[in-house]
Amino acid sequence: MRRGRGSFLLLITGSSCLLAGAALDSQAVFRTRTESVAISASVKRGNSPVANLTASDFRLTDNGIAQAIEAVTIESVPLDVTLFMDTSGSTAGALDRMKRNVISIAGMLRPDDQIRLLTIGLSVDTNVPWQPAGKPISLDMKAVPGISLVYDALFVALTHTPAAGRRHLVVAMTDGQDCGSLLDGARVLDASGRSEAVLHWIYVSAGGDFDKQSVPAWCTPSDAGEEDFVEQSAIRTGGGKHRSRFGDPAVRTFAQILDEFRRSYVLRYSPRSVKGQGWHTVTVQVPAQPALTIKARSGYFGS
Amino acid sequence: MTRLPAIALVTMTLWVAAGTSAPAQGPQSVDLKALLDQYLRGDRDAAVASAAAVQDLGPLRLRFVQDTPGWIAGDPAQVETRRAVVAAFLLELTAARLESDWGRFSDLIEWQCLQMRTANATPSEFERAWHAASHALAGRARARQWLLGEFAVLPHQKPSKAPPSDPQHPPARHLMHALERFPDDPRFQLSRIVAWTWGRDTEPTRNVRGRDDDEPRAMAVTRRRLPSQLEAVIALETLTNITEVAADAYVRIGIMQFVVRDFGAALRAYEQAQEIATDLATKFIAFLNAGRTLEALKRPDDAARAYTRALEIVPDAESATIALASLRFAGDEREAAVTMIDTVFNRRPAPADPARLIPYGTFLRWPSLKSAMRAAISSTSPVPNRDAE
Repeated sequence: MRRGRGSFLLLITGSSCLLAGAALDSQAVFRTRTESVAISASVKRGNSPVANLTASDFRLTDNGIAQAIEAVTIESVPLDVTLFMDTSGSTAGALDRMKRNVISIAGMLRPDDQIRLLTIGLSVDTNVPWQPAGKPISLDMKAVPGISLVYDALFVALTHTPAAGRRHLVVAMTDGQDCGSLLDGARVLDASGRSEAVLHWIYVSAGGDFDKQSVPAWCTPSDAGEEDFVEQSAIRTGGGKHRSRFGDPAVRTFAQILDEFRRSYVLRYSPRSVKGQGWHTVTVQVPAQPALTIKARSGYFGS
Repeated sequence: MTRLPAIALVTMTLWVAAGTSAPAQGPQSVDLKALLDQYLRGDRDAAVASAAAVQDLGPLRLRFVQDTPGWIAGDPAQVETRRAVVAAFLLELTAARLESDWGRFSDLIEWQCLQMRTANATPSEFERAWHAASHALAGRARARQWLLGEFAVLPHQKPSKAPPSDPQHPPARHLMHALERFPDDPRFQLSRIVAWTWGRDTEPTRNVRGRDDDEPRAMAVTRRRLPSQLEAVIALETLTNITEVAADAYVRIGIMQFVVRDFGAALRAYEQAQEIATDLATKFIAFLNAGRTLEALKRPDDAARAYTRALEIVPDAESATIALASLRFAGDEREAAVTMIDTVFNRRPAPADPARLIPYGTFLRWPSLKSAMRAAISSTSPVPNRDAE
C-alpha cells in the first residue's frame, strides 16, 4: 500500500469496506483506490461498546466542515501492539509485576497479531522486537534509576507504520514523568498527530518508593505542572488516560483497552472543501444519540 | 581528618549498616580474601562477578574494612600491587552494582582513597588511573557534594568560608583529594568544573521549540541562573588551550551556553569541538548537540545535516536517530523517519550511545578508564590479565 504524501492518515484505501457489524475480510479493507482519511472512533454507552452503527448515524467535521462518510467499518484486522513499560527508577519497585504483565498481555492477543516491548534505561530499548503474539517472550527487563526517557520512547512507539491490513495500538504503562529525553512533550504531542497509532496511557506508579542508595535522578521533569503532554498525546490519537496499578489491575485495564480498540469504528472520508496542509481538527458525533461517549482521533496533519 | 579517626568512623558506620540490614547471606559466605586472590591472579571479571552477585552488601562492606589491610600485608613483596588490587576491585564491584548501590560504596571508595594517600607520599600512576575511574562512577551518580564538598567553588572563585552544615559528617571531597595529589592533571581539572555544573545544567540537550514564546516563567528562572553558568564557561575556557581536554571543554561550554539560551555561542563552541575532537564519542556529541542548537535557532535543515554527520560517526546511535527522525516525521519525510526508527529500534540490545551518558561526566569513558586502571596494576608487577587476552 502506498501512503499519502507524508500525511499520517491519508491512506490509500479500498472501497470494499464492509459495513459495521458485517464479517470482514481483512485483506479487502485496504485495496488501493483513492486518498482518504481514516478516523478511529470508539462509541460506548456507559462501559459497553455500541455496535451496528452505520455511516448515516455519524456526523464528522473536518476543520468545521461536514464531510460525507464513505465507509464505516469495525475492523477486526490483525494488530501491531506496542507495549511500553517504564522501567525507570520511579517505577522500579514493580519490576516483577511488570514482567508478569507483559506475559499476560501477550497471551491476550490473537495468533495473527504481533507485539513488541519497549523499555527505558540509559537508552530507549527494544526489549522484545516485533514478533508474532503466540511466540514465547524472552524478557530481560531491569530497572535503571536516575533517568526516564518517556518522551523519546513514546516517539519511537508512535513512529511505526503498520503493514497494509493491520492497525497499530500503543499502550504505555508509565507515570509519565520524563527525565533526560532529547524530545520534549510538545514534540511527542506533534508526533501523535501524525501517527497512525492509537495511544493509550495507563498511569502507573510505584509510589515514589526510591532506594536512597541508588543513583538519583539528574533532572527535574521540566514539563511538570505545566502541560500533561502524555495525556494530550493519547487523546489526540483517539486513545486516553487510565489509572491503574502494576499487576492484575493493569492487565484488566489493558483488556478493556484491547476490547474497545477491536470494537472501534473506522470512519473513512475524502476531505472536501478544506485546505490540505496543516492541522485538521476532526469531530465525530452520533447526533441521534447524544448520550453516547465517543472517543475519536482529534485530527491529523494534512500535506 | 587523620587516618585512624577516619577508619574508625567508616568501620563504625559499616558495623551499624551491617547490623541493621537483614542479611540474606552471613559474613562467612563472603570470602573476600579468596576473591582478591582470584583478582590478583588475573581472573578479574569472574572475581568481580562473584562479589557483585552477593545479595546483601552489608557483610561484604564490613569484610572490606576488616580484611583488606591484612590481605595487603600478607605478601610484603607485593604490598603495592595488592593495595592496587584492593582499590581496583572495589571500583569494579561498585561499577557492577552502581545504579542500585552507589550510596553503599561511596564511603568505602573514599576510605580507600585515604589508604592510598597515607601509604604513599608520592602518588603512583595507578593512583592517577584509579582516581580517574572513580570520578567516572561518581559521575553516573552525579555526586557533586561527594566529589567537591558542600560549598564548591570554581578554580577562579574565592573559597567559601561557610561552615559545613553537618560538621560530624562532612562530604568526602573526593575529587579535591585527587587534585591535591595531581594538581596539574587537566582531566581532573575538567572533572572538577563539570561536577560543579551538575544541578546547573538541567535538560541541556532537549529540543526547545515552542518554549521560547510559551514559557516566560521558565525563561525567567533561567535568567536568574545565568551568572553561575557563565562562571563555568570562564573556568572551562582556561582548558581550551590544553590539547588533551580542549574538545571536551568546548562541548561543556556549548552545554552551558545552551542552558542560558545563548544558542549562537553554543553553536560556536560545538563547532570548535567538531574540529579538534579526536575520539569518536566527543566528536559525535559535538555534532548531535550542534543539531539540537540549530533546531533552537530554527534552522531545521542545518540541524538535519548535523544529525546525519553524527550518525556517520556513530552509526545507528539511538539519540541521533530519534533527533533526526523527529525532524523528518514533522516534515515531508515521514516514510524516511519510519524506516530509520524501524531499522534502529527493531534490534536488541541497543547500541551504546555516548549522548545518553554526557550528563554523567566521564562515565561514558568508564570502559577505557577501567582498562587503564587494570593496566596500571599490571605495571606494578607481572600480574597476568586473562580478561584482556
